[in-house]
Amino acid sequence: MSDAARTGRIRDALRNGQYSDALVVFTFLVGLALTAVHWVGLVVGGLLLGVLATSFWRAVQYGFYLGVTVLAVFLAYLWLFGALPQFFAAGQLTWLAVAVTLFVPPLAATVRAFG
Amino acid sequence: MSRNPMQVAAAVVAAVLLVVAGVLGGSYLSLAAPFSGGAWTGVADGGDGVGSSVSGALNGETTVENPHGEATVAYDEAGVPHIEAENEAALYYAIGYVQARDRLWEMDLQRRLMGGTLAAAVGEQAVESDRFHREMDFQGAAEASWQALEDTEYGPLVEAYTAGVNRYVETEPLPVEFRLNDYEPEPWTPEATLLIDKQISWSLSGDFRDLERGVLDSTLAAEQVDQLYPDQLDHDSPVLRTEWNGSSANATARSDLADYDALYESLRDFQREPGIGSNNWVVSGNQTASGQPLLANDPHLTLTVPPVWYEMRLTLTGEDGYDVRGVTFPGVPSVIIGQNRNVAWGVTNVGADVTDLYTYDTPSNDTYVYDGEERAFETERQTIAVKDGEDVDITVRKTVHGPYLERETPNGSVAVAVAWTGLTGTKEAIAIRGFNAAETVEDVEEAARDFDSPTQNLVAADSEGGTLFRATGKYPYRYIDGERVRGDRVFDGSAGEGEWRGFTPFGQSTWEGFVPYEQVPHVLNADYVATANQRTADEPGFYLSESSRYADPYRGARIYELLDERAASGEPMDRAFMQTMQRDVYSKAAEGFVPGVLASREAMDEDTRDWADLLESWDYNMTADSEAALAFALFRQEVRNATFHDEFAAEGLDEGYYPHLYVTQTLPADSEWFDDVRTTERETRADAYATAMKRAKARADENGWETYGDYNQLDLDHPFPVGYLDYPERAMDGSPFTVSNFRVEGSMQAGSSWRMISTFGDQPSLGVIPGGQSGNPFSPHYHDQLDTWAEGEYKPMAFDSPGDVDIRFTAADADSEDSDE
Repeated sequence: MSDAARTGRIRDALRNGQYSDALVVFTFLVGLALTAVHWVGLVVGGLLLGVLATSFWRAVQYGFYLGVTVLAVFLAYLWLFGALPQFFAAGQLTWLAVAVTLFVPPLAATVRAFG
Repeated sequence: MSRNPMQVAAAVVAAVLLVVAGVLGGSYLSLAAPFSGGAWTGVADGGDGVGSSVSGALNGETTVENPHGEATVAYDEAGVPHIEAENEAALYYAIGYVQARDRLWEMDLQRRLMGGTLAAAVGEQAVESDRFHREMDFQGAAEASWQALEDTEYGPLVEAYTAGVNRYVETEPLPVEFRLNDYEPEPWTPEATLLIDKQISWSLSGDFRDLERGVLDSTLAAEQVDQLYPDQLDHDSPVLRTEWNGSSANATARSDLADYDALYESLRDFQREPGIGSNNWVVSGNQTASGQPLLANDPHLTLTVPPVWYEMRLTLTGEDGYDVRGVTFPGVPSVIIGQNRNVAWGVTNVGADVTDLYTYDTPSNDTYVYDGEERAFETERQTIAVKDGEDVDITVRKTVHGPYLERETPNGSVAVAVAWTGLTGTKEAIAIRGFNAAETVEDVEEAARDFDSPTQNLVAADSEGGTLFRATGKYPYRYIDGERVRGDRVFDGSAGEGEWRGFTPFGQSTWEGFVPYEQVPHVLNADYVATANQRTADEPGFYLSESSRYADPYRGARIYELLDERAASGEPMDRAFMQTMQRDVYSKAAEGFVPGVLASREAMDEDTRDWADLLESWDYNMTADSEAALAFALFRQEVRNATFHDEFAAEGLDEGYYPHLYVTQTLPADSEWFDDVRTTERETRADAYATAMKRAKARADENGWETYGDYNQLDLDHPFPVGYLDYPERAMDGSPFTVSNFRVEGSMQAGSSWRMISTFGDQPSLGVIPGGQSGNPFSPHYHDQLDTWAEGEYKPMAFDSPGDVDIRFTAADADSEDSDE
């Protein structure tokens, strides 16, 4: 079996195998955890979800879901610590935080276009 | 597997976008990104939600090694740290750590401002400030003070405090402001603490008013200067109303400094704000319901975010211990205004003239004449680092008298040397530590011997019933040809005029040519004494200052009026009465002006007259809901312009040169100053007041203001323009001339920066700051005292333990000690 064929089989197993759904969920969590440490986590999470997605548009969808999840968890975190009012008073920083969170993962997930 | 070209193209575009965003906007992403973004630094450390409670319960107390021994910190419900230790070095280490935890950014900012390194953090806008502060070499003065303190008992304590600050900086996340503007603090040093001391001193006692006076002397006629800028304002409410054993004042002389107006205008932004002042008063047990003394103090300073003051309680256990609570400036380890279990004390500004200026014959650009010989300026080239800009090179020069400030003006280069009592090794830090541990007012007075700078009206009371008023600081004698002279002029430095004997700039002074401590005004055990920056005494016995440096008498007169009335009533004074006094918004300025305004109504047009009618039934209280208070406040801002603009503008003098409001109020109704020299008619006070009132009404209409609170808005913004750093806005009572002090002057907001009422009876003392204890915008203590303060309310300033320990300092072993040092 050629290397390309082997890679293709692994890719198929990841995307369509028995544990593919669990893998996507795990990758979500990894992306979330990385994002808690550095914003590059949004890129890495999006890239990994793109690799696992069964189609290009599903990849973009996963990326968007990751962004929404990160944003929701972040807002919950701010609420838990009583910091939501300050977040919404941050002006451009608020908008930037929302935009980065929602747009970076789907953009990174477009890596799926390469196969 | 086939690839969709459109999708590949989209992926390439997305990759490019991400790379570009990462490279060009990486710093913004690092700032705003969820969780890790610098803008959200401090969320988990300071919030007041469920998460904070759970986190606090799970994590328990924080443990920190302390090379000097054990200490504990427990924060109370207002975020005030109660710090306790068995030895003073351990205590000071903990203070350093805690102040850095709550106010590190503010400490660094003040240090940068005074040291002339602000532009490195905030950019080009701070270059002129850095230039001035470097030319003055406050850093050199702080180093001289450290030399004076290093080998005293206080030296090791400052070193312990410094190590505590640095321990926090090295081990904990930096405050959000450093992330927002992408810079870092320098390691703290003992000199940095003393630089903060210099900043306080300069902002309270440093000025260039001798230049202002010289410009006025050269511009106006002598009798005009005497009328508008008298030695003493014509009032009978000095601090000391009983006779002080003074001798005659010295003669003054006019100085002709026509070319110095541009120099003054370039320097006056860096001098003491003329309106900055404070109130304090002390009442002996003879006048109180409890039989114990009462003391009140509220220093009026520029209001800032975070607040200028930081409250703390310091408990040193053991036989020689003390238990003191009060406020300090972040960066200074001792309590500056406060009380311990035996003594309370507070300060206001004297307004003394402790800055002198000197001119020289300058044979060349590099030399000046002194004592008959040509000397080279002490010169140093320095570079001001500018964030996101080009570095700026400057030349710092000094003479035998002090820093030499030179500015290019349309008429060529103009320069003066500056002598200021704070530009030498001073020991006020030792005095303040002495206050912290004092047991009687006599101890306070003895400790105040070391209070070299700034000049302050110190009042104190003790639990034994003693009271004290004393003017602190060093007061120079000046001589010309052996004769003692006043200091309200620019001296001929080449001729050695006006020198301060025993003063060594940037070194250690002997103070031999200064007023002896015993001859500086002081009173022990008076029934009551009040100070509000007015004239200290009618005859202080030496040249202390002149009217332009003292405040208008309105607040001082009002405080004495309230105290006199209460004392005469036979009803003893109590804490509630002290609160009522601090909340008082009755304007003596309005009381002085309004009869004249009402008498001027015939000169007003109908609309203006209707508005002025509001003043007829007004009670002179500057309350937010008052229409009349708005009318008076805006009239007050216009009246000096309406009176003096025609004459002053013609001479090139802007409104910064206008005389005191009280001088304007007490001008005779037919004074020539009310005449508009641009018209052929002879105007009177009625015309000037009508003009001022008309302009005031136009301003109110233009801005849609209906009541005083529409104009008198508390609007405190953080220096960095991020919304969540600012405090909420609200309408305010009070004015610059009322006891309850709050002012809006352009973009500046100033007022009572700390209100304290000290008791020794069953009722606890009270205190409040305009904001909150924490500099962390996500903390529940960021501005939790703001409304309390704005409404004239207080929180207890008790000596009870708040309960659970938040930070426990454990004794470090030798290895840890090495690493901490």
